[in-house]
Amino acid sequence: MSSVKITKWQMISVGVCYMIGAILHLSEVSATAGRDAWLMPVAGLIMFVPTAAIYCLLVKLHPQKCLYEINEQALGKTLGKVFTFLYMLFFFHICTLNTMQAEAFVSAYLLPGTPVIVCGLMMTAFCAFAIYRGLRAIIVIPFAFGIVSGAYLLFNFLQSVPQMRPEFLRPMLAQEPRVYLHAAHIEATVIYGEIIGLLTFAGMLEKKTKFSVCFIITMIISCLYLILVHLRERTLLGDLTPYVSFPSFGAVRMIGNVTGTLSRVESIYSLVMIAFSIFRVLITLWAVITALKQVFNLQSYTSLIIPAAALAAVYSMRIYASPNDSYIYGLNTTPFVWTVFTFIMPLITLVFAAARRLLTKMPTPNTSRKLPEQGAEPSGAEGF
Amino acid sequence: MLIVFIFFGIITISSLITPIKNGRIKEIAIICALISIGLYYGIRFAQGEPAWSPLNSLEEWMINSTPFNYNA
Repeated sequence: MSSVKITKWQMISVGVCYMIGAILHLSEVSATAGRDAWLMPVAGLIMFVPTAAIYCLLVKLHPQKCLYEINEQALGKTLGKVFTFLYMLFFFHICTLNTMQAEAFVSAYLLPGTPVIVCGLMMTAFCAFAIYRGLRAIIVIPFAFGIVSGAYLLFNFLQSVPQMRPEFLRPMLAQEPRVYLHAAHIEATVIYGEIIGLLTFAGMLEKKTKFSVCFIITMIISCLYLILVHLRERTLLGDLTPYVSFPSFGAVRMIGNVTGTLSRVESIYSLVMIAFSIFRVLITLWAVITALKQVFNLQSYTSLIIPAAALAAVYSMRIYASPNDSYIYGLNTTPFVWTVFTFIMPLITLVFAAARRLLTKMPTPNTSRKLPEQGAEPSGAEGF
Repeated sequence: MLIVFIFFGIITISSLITPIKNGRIKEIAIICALISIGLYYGIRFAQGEPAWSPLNSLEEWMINSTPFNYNA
């Protein structure tokens, strides 16, 4: 159990910033649901409710424990370590995916021509430094940054309102049901499902604070934010949305082209996007390093930070042949693979945890017998 | 780019110093494993070749051989 304690609002800010970091991954949902993409955060959230209930129940059954400690308590030492190792692979994959997306974004729009490895190494070096400085740095970053950039994102949205064309949203809900199921599945697993990373912080939550409350508030704020992002994308870009590599950024560029006085606002927006993406890399890298510590029963993770960060940077260059491949997999198979990690594995853990709890609560044969008199020697064989 | 690689390589290898000083064998083994995997990916990147990764292989297998993909 960690000695560092985090408050309710710190936990919520970590969760919300982590979710906003998914902004670079929204193109799959936009491409699938088309003009109805703005409704998919709600559909995805409804689909995500059972998963969210599993997470909240897991933390309720194991208060003051993180995801990996819960695994070991519920599944036993060996199976628990296997699960933690699988989660480590999953978080490492997410970490490198986010690094790759951020690299692609920086080298395409922010600093064209910069080698991706330089971007990747700089990002992961920053994350490694933040983790090295300790958890306090990881928690303070979103709390301070989230408020400022959240206000900017809201201002940015309001700025785009005059250019929005609601007719791009019509006709509503006129596509095949399969399309909505597909888009909601992507939203529930790829966008919301990655919030499982927040469970690695569950052990640090203050005793009086309820994880479920933090989780629900985080999900609602994230859902509202995703709706706004999809709405802006669609109403500004229309049918062009699937053809733009980063639609949310493409939409902001439209504001720059239309308004006269406050043009080129996309430069600040891109910095905010990058900062949130780096924060997402930071959280997942933290999850990887703490998983390594848990799997191998290490005293400290400090010496693992730099090798893990360096590996993430190098791996991010080879994870897919190109960001396009990642997009194709994200559209077709990733929702199924992510379901294993975000739904099935936590469900198995919950079943084991519930079974353990039931077994410990069940009355043993001893209790029905007459208790030995005070002072009498207890017999070890009694009850067998 | 080579300078960046060398610089980061030196920093990575330097993280071995503390565990070696304190004789923490497990940590040394893990760091060496991470460096080896990193080298593998680095070399594949330099060669311009794809590299093996567990989740990617799983996704590739799923898209080609199972109904668990939306392309099927």
